[in-house]
Amino acid sequence: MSRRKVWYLIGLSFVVAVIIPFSIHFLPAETQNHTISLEAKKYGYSPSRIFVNKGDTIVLKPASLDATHGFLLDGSPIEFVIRKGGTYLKYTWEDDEGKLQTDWDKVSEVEFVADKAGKFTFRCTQTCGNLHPFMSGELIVKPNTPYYLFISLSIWIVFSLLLYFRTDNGSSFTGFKRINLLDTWPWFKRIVKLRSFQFLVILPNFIVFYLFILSSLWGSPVGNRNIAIIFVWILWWFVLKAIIVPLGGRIWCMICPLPAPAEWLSRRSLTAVRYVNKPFKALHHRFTGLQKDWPKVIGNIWLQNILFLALISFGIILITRPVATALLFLVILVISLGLALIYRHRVFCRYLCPVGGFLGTYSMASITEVRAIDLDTCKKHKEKSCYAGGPGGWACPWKQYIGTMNRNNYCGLCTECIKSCPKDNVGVFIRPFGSDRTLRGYDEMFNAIIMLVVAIAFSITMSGPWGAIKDAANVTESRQIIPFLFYVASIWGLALVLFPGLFTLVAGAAKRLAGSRISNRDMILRMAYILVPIGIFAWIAFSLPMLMVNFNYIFAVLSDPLGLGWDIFGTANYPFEPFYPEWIPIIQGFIMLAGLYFGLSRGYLAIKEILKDPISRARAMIIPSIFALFVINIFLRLYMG
Amino acid sequence: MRKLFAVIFSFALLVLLNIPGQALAGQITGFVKVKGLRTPANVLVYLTRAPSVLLDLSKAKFVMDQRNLEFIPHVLPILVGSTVQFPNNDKVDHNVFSMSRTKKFNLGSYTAGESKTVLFDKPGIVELRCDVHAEMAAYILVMKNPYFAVTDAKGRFQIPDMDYLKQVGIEGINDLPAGKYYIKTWHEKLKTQKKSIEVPGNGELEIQVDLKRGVPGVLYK
Repeated sequence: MSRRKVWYLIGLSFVVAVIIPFSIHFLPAETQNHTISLEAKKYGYSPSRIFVNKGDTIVLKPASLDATHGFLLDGSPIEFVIRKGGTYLKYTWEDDEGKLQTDWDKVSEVEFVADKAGKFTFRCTQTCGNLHPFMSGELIVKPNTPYYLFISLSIWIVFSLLLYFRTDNGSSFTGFKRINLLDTWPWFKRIVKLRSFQFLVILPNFIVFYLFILSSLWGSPVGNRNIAIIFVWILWWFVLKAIIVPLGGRIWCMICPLPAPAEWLSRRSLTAVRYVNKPFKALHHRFTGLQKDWPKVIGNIWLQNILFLALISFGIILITRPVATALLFLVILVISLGLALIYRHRVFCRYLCPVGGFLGTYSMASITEVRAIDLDTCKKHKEKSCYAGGPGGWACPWKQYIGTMNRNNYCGLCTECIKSCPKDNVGVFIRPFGSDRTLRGYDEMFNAIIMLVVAIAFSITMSGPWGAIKDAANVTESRQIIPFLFYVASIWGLALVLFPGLFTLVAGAAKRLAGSRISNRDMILRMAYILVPIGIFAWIAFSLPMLMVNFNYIFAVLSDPLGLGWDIFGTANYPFEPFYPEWIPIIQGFIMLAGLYFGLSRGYLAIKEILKDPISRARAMIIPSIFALFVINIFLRLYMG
Repeated sequence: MRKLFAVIFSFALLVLLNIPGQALAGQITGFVKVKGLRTPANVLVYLTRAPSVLLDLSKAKFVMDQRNLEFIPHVLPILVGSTVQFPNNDKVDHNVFSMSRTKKFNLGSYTAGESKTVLFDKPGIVELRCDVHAEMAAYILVMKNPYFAVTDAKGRFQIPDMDYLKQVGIEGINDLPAGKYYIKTWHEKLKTQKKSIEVPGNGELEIQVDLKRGVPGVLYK
């Protein structure tokens, strides 16, 4: 088949993929009236999902079983407060000066017409408890054309990519040439070369971080009233997942305030290098502490995987209780300090930090890298100042030798090598998305799988409408031990057994279809790379709505950081008005489709390096593509269905 | 003899009241348009001054019900000198009280099935509250004359409101004699409006009242 024919087929199938779901949209349907008793209870509604047809009239009879709850339907002016005594419906009007005024009326039922098709979330508007920001329900107005369209498009992407792989002549997905930012922007180079650079970027973070610990301990115990919770788990998490990781990879590690005291202590210096002149190939610095080597057996990211899963098991508690967040930070601080006194290098960051694990794996796809400009120069340079340390910079705290480093995984972007290299042979490069494509071990593969499973689990627990699952996860409040154990067991089981097992079968089938003699290990590790871009995009799709819905709390806590009734900037009562929430499912759908495209195309590049035959490459991609399609459709179902 | 006189007298009275009335009287109908409320219901529209009418309140029965943590109706216009019953038809106890100048009372807490009564002997506004349920509120409007109406869900009204008067057991009210009147409105969240109108000799007067959000005034100065 020629390339041209393939493009024709791709275009034609796109038209088909769009027409089919839209034809369902225009099927005639009868409209009905639905009278629904809507019970609100911490932290969910019953019924949690309401299914109606477009044009149907819905009469809600709301009642609250415990606290005061709210109801705000995405993309509609309908908002009411549900108290034990009655329901108060909001209405607005323009006064004589053209200002919008609002008031509430006591009503026994709320009637409206579902005039738009799709999925719409209704959310609690009244701070009703710890999990209040996650209390929601769903109104699904059939025909849910957007959902069917995105299913159809996801199939189209897989079909088109498979066709495209089949006719690959070797030049597909080459991307652009890397750009060295230090060359392009001389001012940037001057800044990065400053000895105080890392200290200066950590410092503001460091101050804010300690203020957050204080506010966690002494501020409001209600999560969405405490600046630490809102800034760390809503703003930071989103910025980390959606901006920092895809663009900068481990740039967070560069500015992370948590292990900084440990590093300052072991270096006994905030910025300066304490250089000791020694014979060849020896460490040119002296550190505080025992300077032992980290045990080889745990010199991987397994501990990080397990610690991340352990934290995630209490995830919903951690991110809604300020005290839990403060404790986590303090524990990290103490452990990192303790370890810095025993071991050399940043062992906490490399082997223990739960965030560091996935930052490493996901930084493989990021578009920034620190690399040697010319590998020959490194080879010929005998001092290896980047690794052993030099007068200009400390020895690599991440135990990386830039002369051979070809992946982002364990490079913390601390910029020491840029400063220590006497040959000026280190650059900061911008590169195409998904450039490091080799997972080195099962620990990294499991990390990618765990991240994906946790993204699914969080999408169900936090964004989903199911109150019972929230209760199970929220064990410290609900006191339901058995459901909690079941919840934790499902996450661990899915992440460590079911999903990896399924993926092993997929990789096995791919290997069989490829008919190649490469080892199982190579095949599965290469194939697992598909999960890295998918995971990154899944996390973006998960975190973006958190910000779009809850951004008002950012303004509110800025004015009242401790929840003590202050109003510093006059925004303490910033109203809860989600930002275009009716577009959230569509945006999430697009993000997931992008994940599917990048996952498959970059995964394909990963196996292209080990499978030379174009036909067997294309055949090898069939089963993994279907698997990726399945994974993407889990998310589409959760976000749009 | 006395009986006969009474019959003749009452017949004459009827003729006097009715015949000219039918020839030279009318009704006011209309609707209110409201800015700043969810519905234009529960707006009282009334005449400040009207021809005096002999009223028999002995059969009148005004009820302010309590069901599902709510007073029903929300606005109850009554005539001065009448008694209102406050039955508790809810599952919980209620304690009806009023701090209004027109009538101060406190019925104390009483259970479902019980009923209490209060006599309203001064015209004006009485705001009802429940001691147990802070969000419960209703208004009893004690009127000087029967020429009033409360708007329905669409904001319509008719003065006199024969259906309402019949329902509460007040009979013998006639249409308005032709002439100039002042019409006034009252709603707990709307600015009071006063409007001069002229009822024609025959037929109906149709009016529209535009109301805005604000603090209401008193019923009678």
